Amino acid sequence: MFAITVRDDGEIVLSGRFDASQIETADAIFERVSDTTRVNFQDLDYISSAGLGILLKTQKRLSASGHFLILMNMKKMVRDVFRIARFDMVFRIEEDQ
Amino acid sequence: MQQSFRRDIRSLDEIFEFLDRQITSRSADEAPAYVLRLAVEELFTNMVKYNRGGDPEIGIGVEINGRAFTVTLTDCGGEPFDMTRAKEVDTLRPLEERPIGGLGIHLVRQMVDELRYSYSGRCGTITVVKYRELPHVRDHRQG
Repeated sequence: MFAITVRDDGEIVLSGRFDASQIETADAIFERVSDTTRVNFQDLDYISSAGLGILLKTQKRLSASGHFLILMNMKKMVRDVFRIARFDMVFRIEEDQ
Repeated sequence: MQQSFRRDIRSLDEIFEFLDRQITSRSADEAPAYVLRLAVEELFTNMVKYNRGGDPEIGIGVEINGRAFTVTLTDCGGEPFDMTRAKEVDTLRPLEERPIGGLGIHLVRQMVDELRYSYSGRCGTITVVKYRELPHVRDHRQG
């Protein structure tokens, strides 16, 4: 089960399992992002390359206008996936916010 | 234990349920289950995307012994397609030059302990092995 919600302050909250079958659902939210935005991973249990692809695409688009995503509160295994993909060099990742 | 799944991205829910029944219930450690889910998702979605002429279903098998978890994905009816030898992505490139694709097989290569491909009788089989962490090794590491 995957869920993506946008809070009143613009923060995007991810939860559950972000796999390849959820690309369209997630993309519909991320393609509307046009400013620096916080993405809360606190309740996200799983991400694969499909989810990384959506985040990378969004980050590339935002960087053209000087904006970026701030990724927060990743669980250990999700953090490991970012590290192995070397996405920790591409994204601003914050812990325990 | 072997089961067949429709060649469709929407099969992923069913595949995760199958893996969870086989693996999560037999491993207290979260890491191998995560790694095997990810490996199966990446390999299965590649089969769906790039081997469209194959049979309508793809077989997934799980074998567990005291040493390792072994998962096989069997894709029949298509030409040989060894994605385990796909070109490595350059993960050191700056943001603007990072490709969107190719990351999946990179993650699989880095996270599993063995990855093999074989082709026989018009069936391609990818075997993924993740070693079990033995309790005394974990205790030692935790120090």
